[in-house]
Amino acid sequence: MSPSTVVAIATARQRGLMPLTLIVVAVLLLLALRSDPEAGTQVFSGLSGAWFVVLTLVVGAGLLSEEIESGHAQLVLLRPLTRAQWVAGRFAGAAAIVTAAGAAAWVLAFAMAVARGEPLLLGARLAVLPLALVQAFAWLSVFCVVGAVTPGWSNVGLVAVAYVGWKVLKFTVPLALRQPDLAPVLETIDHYCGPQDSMGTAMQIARGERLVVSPALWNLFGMAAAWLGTVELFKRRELARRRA
Amino acid sequence: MTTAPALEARGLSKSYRTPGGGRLVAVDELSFEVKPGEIVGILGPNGAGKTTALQLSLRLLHADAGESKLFGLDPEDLAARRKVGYAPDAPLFPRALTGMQVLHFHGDLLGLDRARASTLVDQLDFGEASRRQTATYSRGQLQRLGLAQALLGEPDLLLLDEPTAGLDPAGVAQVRDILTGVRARGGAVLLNSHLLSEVERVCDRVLFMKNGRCLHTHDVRTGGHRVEVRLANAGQIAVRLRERMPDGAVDGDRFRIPVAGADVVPPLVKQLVELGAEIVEVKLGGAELEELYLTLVEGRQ
Repeated sequence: MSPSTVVAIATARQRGLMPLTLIVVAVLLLLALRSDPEAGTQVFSGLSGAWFVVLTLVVGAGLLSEEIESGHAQLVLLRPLTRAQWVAGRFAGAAAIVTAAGAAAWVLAFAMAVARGEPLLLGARLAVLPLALVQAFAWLSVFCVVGAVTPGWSNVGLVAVAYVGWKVLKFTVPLALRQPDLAPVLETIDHYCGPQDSMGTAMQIARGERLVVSPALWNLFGMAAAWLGTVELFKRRELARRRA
Repeated sequence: MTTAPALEARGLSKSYRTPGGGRLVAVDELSFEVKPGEIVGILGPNGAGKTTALQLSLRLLHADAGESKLFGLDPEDLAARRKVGYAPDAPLFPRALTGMQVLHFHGDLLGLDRARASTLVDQLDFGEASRRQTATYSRGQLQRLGLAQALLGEPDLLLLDEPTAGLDPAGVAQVRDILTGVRARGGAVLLNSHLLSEVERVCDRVLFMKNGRCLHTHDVRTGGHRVEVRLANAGQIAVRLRERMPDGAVDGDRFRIPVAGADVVPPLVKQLVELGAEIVEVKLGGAELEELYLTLVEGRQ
């Protein structure tokens, strides 16, 4: 087994068995059971989608800093593995929890659709899971890059504040400055600020519309960039707890 | 061909910003080495920089200046890390995992058979606790788990930070056996401890640290031993002892004198009896570690 795999398995076990994670997963599965004509594609949109983001937040909170602050990371990183391998393992462990929970919700929603005789929308259904996972992984990557330099669970707090702050600014600045022309400019910038909602692609498949895959591609690009950033920032971080 | 030291530190320095805006020097141009087959102890008061020295040596902290090498390699070199075991002061582990799961995790990272973890658990009398989550562990049990993970890969260099803190007397004796066992197979040990008696018993060399600096390196083995003799009539023969044995010193009812080794004790006792000493007790100890400590670190004469 590669060192990253060993770290990933331990991370998945450690964070997957946290009571909070188990509660969030249970609610996600309950939401997947609800009756909805487009349940197959909506399993990661609307309320379910928001709850899927909550799961990502819970799993990504303090993903790196928790181990550093407990002092365990210094013991692990004295083993023959690089910091990049450790970061990859922590990320993969968190991603495995999100994947398992997402796949279970997807299967439940599919089974309920079949049981209720709802339209199967196979193309959309098959596309929605990877699209949702790529989006979730992109958010996890953002939590990782911020968590490489921040303490405790503040990584998700900072990202949430920045996200809400940007959304508020985007709507209020054109109004406050009485510059309606600014709105489309800010909307364009918004497409490059953090992970994008790629669920629209699944809906486009369901409706037979022209596909726009740029949000999913942007999420993939963001993941790669964030991973590189995380490793570079994490290399500068001291592992020992300061006693001075 | 010369063998590279297991650990070599050259001019390590580290300072921290303090809340008042000043700087606290934790380690100041510290240089030392630990050779294979040697146990080196670090002694010093709280805040002397002992733990920081260990962490800088392993690159767990970034040094402001200086460098360290493990087996002649960079501390982040994976080949060097494979040979190192480290047990920090007050180790903490993921609370949801059992002790055995923690050991399996570290063993998997080292590519070891899982039987190795079971062997260590038995060796450290840790069987029952290893099946419980680490969240339920006492300080002593965490210490034992910390030791077990450090010993897992049979390291050629073992760094221990206060390994006996929180351990019962049996645990302290086990640590002593482990350290001498590592030395016997040619391994090197850097031991950070407050216990002078333990350091004196197992270490080959001792670094005295204060305010981040190494004040003195004392060679315990070649530094000689000391005989302490309790006398019933110390006051009466004190002058005679000073005249005939000027290396010795009378302190209350005790006469202390440095000696080369245990074999000179019988002739020394004979000589004392001939001088009229009424001997109550004779003790052969290591070199004057306590006195050195008090003189160097505490500044007492």
